[in-house]
Order: sequence, then structure tokens, then C-alpha cells
Amino acid sequence: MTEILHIGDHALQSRLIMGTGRFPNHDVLLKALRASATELVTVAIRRVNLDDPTGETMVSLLRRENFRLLPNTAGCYTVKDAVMTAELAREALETDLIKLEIIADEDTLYPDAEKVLEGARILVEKGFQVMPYCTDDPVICKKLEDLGCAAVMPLGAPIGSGMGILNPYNVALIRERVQGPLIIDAGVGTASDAALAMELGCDGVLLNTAVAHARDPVLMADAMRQAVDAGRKAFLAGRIPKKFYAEASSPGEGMMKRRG
Amino acid sequence: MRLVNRAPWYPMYIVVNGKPRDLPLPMPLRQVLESLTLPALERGLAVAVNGELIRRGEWERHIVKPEDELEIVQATQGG
Repeated sequence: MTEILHIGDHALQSRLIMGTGRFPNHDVLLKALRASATELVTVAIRRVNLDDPTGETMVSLLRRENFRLLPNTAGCYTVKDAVMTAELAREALETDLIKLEIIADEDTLYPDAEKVLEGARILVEKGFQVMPYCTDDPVICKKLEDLGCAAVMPLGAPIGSGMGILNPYNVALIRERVQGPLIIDAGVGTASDAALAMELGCDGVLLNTAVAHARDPVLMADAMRQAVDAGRKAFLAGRIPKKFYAEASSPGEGMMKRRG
Repeated sequence: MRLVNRAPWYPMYIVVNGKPRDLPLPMPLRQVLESLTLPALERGLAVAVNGELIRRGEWERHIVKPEDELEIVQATQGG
């Protein structure tokens, strides 16, 4: 079963989007990305190291492996900085895709919903395919979709916390209201979290630390690939309703005579 | 904000990624990048001058003036 996920102009076979930060080294990063079978990977935009500008860049490594790049605006606290970062990213990487991240608070790294809405509006107007990292709030998510975002990406839990999908009820509500691509971004700690997100009807999962900081990142990347796949199939297959009482799987008729 | 203690009538430096650089200014942006030995990275680079993106096609024409602030960025690992 090959189902395509469309995000803006991009058609993806993999529903797992991987971050590339916090890996022990480039070798582990590339092996984990291959094991995850991801096609789209996030990158940050940072100053060139002018003391060593000739080293092979991360981008050339990722491009050589045919990964598509999703630049982010990580570290931005203002709309102005996020828009500037997006414009620099588009120029540097020749892609209209942008993961819009505007943070409000250093401890929680929670998105600043008001600024994310404003930033998304400006970037959509400038022709970007915007994928905003946002709160798991059905109203905010719907507003972002209505602004013309290519996907909406509510958090499952704070970035890097590994606490999983803290509010599955909200995610289900968001799924009901958002027609376009819905990606859970942040909070995934292990494979079952990714599977749950997919079972709730999300179109994909974006994760980073759960793989990068696992004891065996490559093995965890493989687990995430399978979890996203399993969760998606379970969603499409349709789970049975939860019931309070047992219901026998074997027929009640044709039983032998009971003795004793 | 003055980053270098100089006589005010002779400001021949720019600020690149937060650090002052002495250069015979004014000069085109492309020449500034060449002086920083950046051409090898050209494809993955983006440059802002005083908070404005300067597109690759404008690097020849854009003249960098004394006290301009340049940000030269590229993609790196991130989540």
C-alpha cells in the first residue's frame, strides 16, 4: 500500500519527517535517517563559521542522500526575525517550504500562538509553503489552515520533553476540523507515541530528540518508521469501539456438554 | 553601537556575523564574500545586509558601505 502525502507542491511516500539536530555525529545521523525512510528533514539556519568556511556543509551531505530539506525558524522569538530567517532559508536552499517556529518562552519552548498566526499570514502572502509549529488548540490550528498554510503542526508535548501525546482529545478535535495535512510536531518519546498520533488520524509525525538521544538512534529510527506505518494503517482500518464488558471471540453455539 | 575604537571620520570596517572586519570600503557584496574566502560555499549561502536579504543576483550590484552589518548564513543541523 503506497499512499502519498501531499504537502504544498511536495508528494511524500513517508509520513515521518525527521529533525537532524542533537545526533552524536554525522555518521549516526545519516544511518538513522536512512533507517527512518524519511524523505523530508528539517534544518536550522545559522551563521556561517567564518573561521572554517570550507568544510563540507550539512546540506551537501543531506542533498547527496536525496533528502528534501525543510528549513525552520527555530530560535526566533519575533515575527520579524522569523520572516527574515524564512527569507534567508529560501535564498540559501531554494525551497519555499518553511517550518515556522516562533517561541514564547525559554523553559517550555511553547509556540507564541499570536505571533505564529501573524508570521504565517505574512509568509503565505510572500509565497512560502508554511508549516507552522503551533499549540494543540483546535481554534488556532483551524485559523492557520484558513490562512493558507500547507500543513499545521501542533505539538504533542513540549520540544524535547519526550512526554508523548499529552492531549489526544485535542488532537482528535483538531483532526475533525483541519482538512489539510496535520502533522504532530514535538513531544514524541517512543514508538507508541508516534503510533498514537497516527491512530488519531494525523497525516504524519515530525520528531527529532526521541531518535537522536535514544541509546541506539538507528534502531529507534527503524522503530519510528514502523510505528508511523502501523498507526496509519490502524487509522485507515478503523479501530473497534471500546466497550465496558467482554465479548467472546469464539462462538457460543456448538459447545460440548458441560460435565462437572 | 561602536564595536571598534576608531576615529569617527574613518570608519572602514563592517560587522560580519557579529565581528568587525577591516576592508577597503565601499566594495560590491560579491567582493566582500570573496575576501572572506566564501565562494566555495556560495550555493548554500544567504546574505542579509542591515536586516535586508540581498539576493544572489544582486551581489555584484549591491555596494557594501562602512559600518554595514552583514549576516551570512547557511543551513545546519536542527529539529
